[in-house]
Amino acid sequence: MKGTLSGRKREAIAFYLFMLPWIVGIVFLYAVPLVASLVLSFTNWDLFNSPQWVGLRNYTNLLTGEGTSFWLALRNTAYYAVVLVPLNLALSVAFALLLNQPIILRRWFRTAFYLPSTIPVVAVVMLWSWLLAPSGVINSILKLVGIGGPAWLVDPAWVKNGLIIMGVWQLGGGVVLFLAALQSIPRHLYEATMLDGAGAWRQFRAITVPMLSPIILFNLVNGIIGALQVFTQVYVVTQGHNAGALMMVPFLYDNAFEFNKMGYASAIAVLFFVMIMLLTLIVLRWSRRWVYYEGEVT
Amino acid sequence: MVAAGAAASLGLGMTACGSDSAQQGPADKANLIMTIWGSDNDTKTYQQRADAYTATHPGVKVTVKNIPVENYDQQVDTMIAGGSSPDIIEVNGTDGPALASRNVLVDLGPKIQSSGLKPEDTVDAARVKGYSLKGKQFALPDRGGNLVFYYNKTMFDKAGVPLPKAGWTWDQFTEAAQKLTIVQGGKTVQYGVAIDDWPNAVQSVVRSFGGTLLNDSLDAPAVDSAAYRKGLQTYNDLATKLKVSPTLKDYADFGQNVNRDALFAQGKTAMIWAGLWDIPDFVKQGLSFGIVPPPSGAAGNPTMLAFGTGLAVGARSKNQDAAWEVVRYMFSPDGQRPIVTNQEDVPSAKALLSEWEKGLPSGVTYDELAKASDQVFPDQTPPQINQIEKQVQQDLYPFFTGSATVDQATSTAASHIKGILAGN
Repeated sequence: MKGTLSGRKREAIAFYLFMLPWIVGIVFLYAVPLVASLVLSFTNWDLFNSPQWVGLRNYTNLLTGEGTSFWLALRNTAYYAVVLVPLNLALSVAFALLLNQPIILRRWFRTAFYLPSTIPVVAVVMLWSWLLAPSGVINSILKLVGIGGPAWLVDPAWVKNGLIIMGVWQLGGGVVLFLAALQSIPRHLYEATMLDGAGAWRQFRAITVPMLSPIILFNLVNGIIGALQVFTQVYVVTQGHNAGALMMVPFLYDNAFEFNKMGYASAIAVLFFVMIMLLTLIVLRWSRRWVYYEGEVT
Repeated sequence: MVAAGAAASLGLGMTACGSDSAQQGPADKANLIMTIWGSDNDTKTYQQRADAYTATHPGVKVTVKNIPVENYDQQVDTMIAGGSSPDIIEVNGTDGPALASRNVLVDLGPKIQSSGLKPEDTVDAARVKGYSLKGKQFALPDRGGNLVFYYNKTMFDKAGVPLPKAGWTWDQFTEAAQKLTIVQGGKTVQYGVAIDDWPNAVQSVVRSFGGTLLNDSLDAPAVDSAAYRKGLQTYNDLATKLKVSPTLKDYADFGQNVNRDALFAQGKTAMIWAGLWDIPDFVKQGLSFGIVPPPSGAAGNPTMLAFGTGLAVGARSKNQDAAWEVVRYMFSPDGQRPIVTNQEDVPSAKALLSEWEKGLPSGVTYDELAKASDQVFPDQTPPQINQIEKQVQQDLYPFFTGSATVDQATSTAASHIKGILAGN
């Protein structure tokens, strides 16, 4: 047996070999840049000359400097996420429930609801800037019922709502996940509660929601992160001119790659990273109280 | 996105440590890289100019590298940070100062002096000054041109309004704009003029009222001055009060990418502020139009922001002397001539302007503009100009869309500019 490896060892080597591409990726594409950003955030760096250590100055400028846009970007981004994420979740569940019913043209509807999330963002923006134009289709409809619609994507006070509408329209991805989860709920659970006399609402509360809760959590966490990192649609809609839609990632991007303030931009990235991390931890901690994993109870 | 940004900054960080030793090659033997942005015609024209230099200096070869304009700044930054700086760099009024303030462009001042070149003899002094920062000449002007004012002849003739000419006043202009605005059934079918928040036009108009973004020493905002506010208010009144121009909300109804140029091309507005680069497009549309200096808020003030590009020498190039000689040749009228013969753009050399005018389409003359060459003014270009211009456009946006007064918007802008200049 000399010269050959034991099965266990061979397995371990295979494991590391298979993991290698991923490990290399995470170290060089994530871990090192992450640490580098942290270090750079305490410096002034213009990309060409060696970084100068400035201590906490980037952070104090960002948080309290004259005319800082950090708080505006944070408020805008928070508003966008706080409205969009719950709305998207509720509507995704609702549409999934409807599409799970034996309705006519069910396949057609399922496709139709998923389709918008396959369209590239730039095309979505083209479409919606036409629909949401001051005298566009949406406002014409509102006018029929006596409402004078706003200049959705122009007025700084309304542009975030316009972006939220675009975001809601693309909820198909979530619907598909919920639909799959709904179909995996065993029928006998519903039958059992029915025998006990539970109505539709009670069934929804006691069976559907708990059985969907892992998917709700998944969509919630991804939704929060996705909404906070919104970039492309903001850039295409406003070209950065509309302060009403100044969001965190475009703010970071401008400072880094247009204004060459790498240290300052790194400080934004670090603060933003910490915020997203904390938020995710809170959600995960909170989820223990309402997420139900089937495997945990036997 | 955040991770990607960090990754990019790190990648650049690692390469930024590369050597930039000042080992300089000879002036008469080098293979140079020149970065430009623009069309195939731009590439062809620059290459032709470079080859003309090579013809008399066979040891020096220039490769023109055309970089897509939307990535130009980032890519040039990456090349420099990566230790392979371009030898000759095309710059404009915003990216030039950003590069110069980071010490990656050669101060051409000493070279200009030792070679006995007098740039003002070739190009307007204001234009030369546009490429200097804190007393350092970081580039020489190359392509020229400036903001001008277009009018649609057919519309003027139809309305019986006399054609605009050099020196016309703001009152004459608004009167014409009112006569040229046609409203049918409550809907404006023809606008007298089409304005928006395009910073170059805003700056030119406000300047004609005596307002500037920054003070003369470029270390404090002047955007909240009475003159700036008056100019800005009068400009926007065209849309909101006199209703002779569409508002930003009206533009949103016209559809994505329909701007003032498109409205003029479609024959929906009689006048616009625009660049000379629109001429071929308007000719293609079969319009009968003319170009003149814009109306002025107060007589004697400048009205036309200088456009154009300059050529700089990379401070981390290994062939600075050779690159400087090429730039010096390209700056000369002979070196600029292909700009005219290829109809690429307006040359900055005064001596070539009459040749350039001959290339104008029939019916369009430069006569009125030639009378007003003293109305051209260079942009104010502190190193942070890129950030300031973007911030100001953002701050004025609520004013243009009607949710802030001129005082509110300009005060916000002033506070932001202070922060930016202070390095916040």
